[in-house]
Amino acid sequence: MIYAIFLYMLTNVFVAYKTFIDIRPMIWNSLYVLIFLFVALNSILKSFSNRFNSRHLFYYSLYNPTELLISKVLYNFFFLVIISILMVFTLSFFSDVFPKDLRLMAVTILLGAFGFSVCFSFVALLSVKSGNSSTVFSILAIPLVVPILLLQVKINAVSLGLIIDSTISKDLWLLVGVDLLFMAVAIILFPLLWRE
Amino acid sequence: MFYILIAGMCVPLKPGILDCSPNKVNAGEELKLKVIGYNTNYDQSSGNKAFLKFDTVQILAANKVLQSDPTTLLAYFDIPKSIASNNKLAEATLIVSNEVDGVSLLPSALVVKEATPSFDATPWVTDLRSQIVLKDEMAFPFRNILYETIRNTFFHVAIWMSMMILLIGAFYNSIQYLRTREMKYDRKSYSLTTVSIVYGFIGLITGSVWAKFTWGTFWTSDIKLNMAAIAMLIYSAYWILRSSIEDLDNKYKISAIYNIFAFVALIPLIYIVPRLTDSLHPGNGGNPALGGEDLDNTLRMVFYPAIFGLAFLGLWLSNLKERTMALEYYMNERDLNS
Repeated sequence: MIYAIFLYMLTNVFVAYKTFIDIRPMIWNSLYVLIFLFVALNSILKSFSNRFNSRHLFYYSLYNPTELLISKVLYNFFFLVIISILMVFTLSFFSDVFPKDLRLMAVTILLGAFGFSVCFSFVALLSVKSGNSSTVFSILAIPLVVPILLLQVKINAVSLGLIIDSTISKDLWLLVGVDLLFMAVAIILFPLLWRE
Repeated sequence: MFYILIAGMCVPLKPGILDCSPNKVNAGEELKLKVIGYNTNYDQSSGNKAFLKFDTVQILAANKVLQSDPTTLLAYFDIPKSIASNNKLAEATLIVSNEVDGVSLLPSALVVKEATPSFDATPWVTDLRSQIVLKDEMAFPFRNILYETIRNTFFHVAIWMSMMILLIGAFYNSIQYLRTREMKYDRKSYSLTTVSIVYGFIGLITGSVWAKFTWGTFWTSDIKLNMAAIAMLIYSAYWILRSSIEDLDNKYKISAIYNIFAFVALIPLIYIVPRLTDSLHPGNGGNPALGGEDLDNTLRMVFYPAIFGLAFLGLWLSNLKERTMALEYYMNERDLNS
């Protein structure tokens, strides 16, 4: 399945490259964030859509809900990290822009992917329970990840060399805080939802 | 609420200074300063005085003050050659006082160039307080740039504060629903959230009308505004979630859970993130808007009742909604059972 998502991402980047032609760092940043959002949305939605036949639902009901949530979060996290790294290289391949501060970029990828995966996994499991509608999933999940997106935009701008911010660690800790907050709420609320 | 509307809109603004010209002068010259006031009665009072205050010990009195009409004043100053200051340019605050209007001031009114930075005690006025008239009256403070729009505090800020109160109520009711699974908690949390969403949109609209007059544009890329918009999107998604789930067993449980999730995500968004970054929105960049220095006592008289009034109005509206929902529910049950 990772090849399918990789192809989806590659097509997106290629179309963007054809329309923008000359990708400046600011455009690189917004393209990265936008394509990452929609790739994450589609991939996590797709990973849940083939669970809706009764056999899988039966397996699901056997698992401990907290373990289920954490395993989904971890799986999606690794998935999104790999896709992000591939996307950075793909975007840099089509433009001449490469992140100047690679360590900061790596940290951002890890934190952003974790936040996205927590949020999307939680909302996806919620929508599985509520009658598997994908529009509900998108509408619920996109506003919730916007703070993570905004923070990622800011930190990416620093790592690309667009702006110079000496207090960037403040933003990084903020991102860590938002991730932990979402994770905590998901862990607390999820077993209540899953009890049947 | 009538009190809020009438007091909020009709109480006049204190007299203040709109502008003064010229803004720059060289040290050692005689300055003829033209002062334009707002809500002032310069021609009705005989004791018009004007001062230029550079810091606490350097206050310059005007030699002569002429008034021509209620809002224009001409003040003549002799700017001394030496003014002690930290920068090369000395900045002064203009203070105008008369017995009808009281005291009004314009910060950073004048910049004096080419002054010798040394302190010479001769031209300065030593005791300002005895020469100015302090008045207590029911009028709102005059702040430059804000002028009359300071009245927006009662509507815009009060709406957001009462929305937070309603959302705390919704959060509490959602938790209670998940604990006890009684229908009334679900009805309460849904009706409170609905009223909060409406309040939120009204808050956004009042804020953008204010922004048009103060900043010149309806919306700007400011962190507090963005976070408020995101909060509205999250809660609107709650509405959509609620209406899209058909399965009654799960509907209430899932909407209660989403309500809790959204509230917990909301608090850092609206309160913590804007404090950390610089923001154009008043009350940010380190200082909260409810601080003791941000409100005049006359404003407080209208502001605190406004919060209570709007919060109770919201509670009443949500109560009505909850009761209609309860009636529908019981009528459905009666139809099903009969």
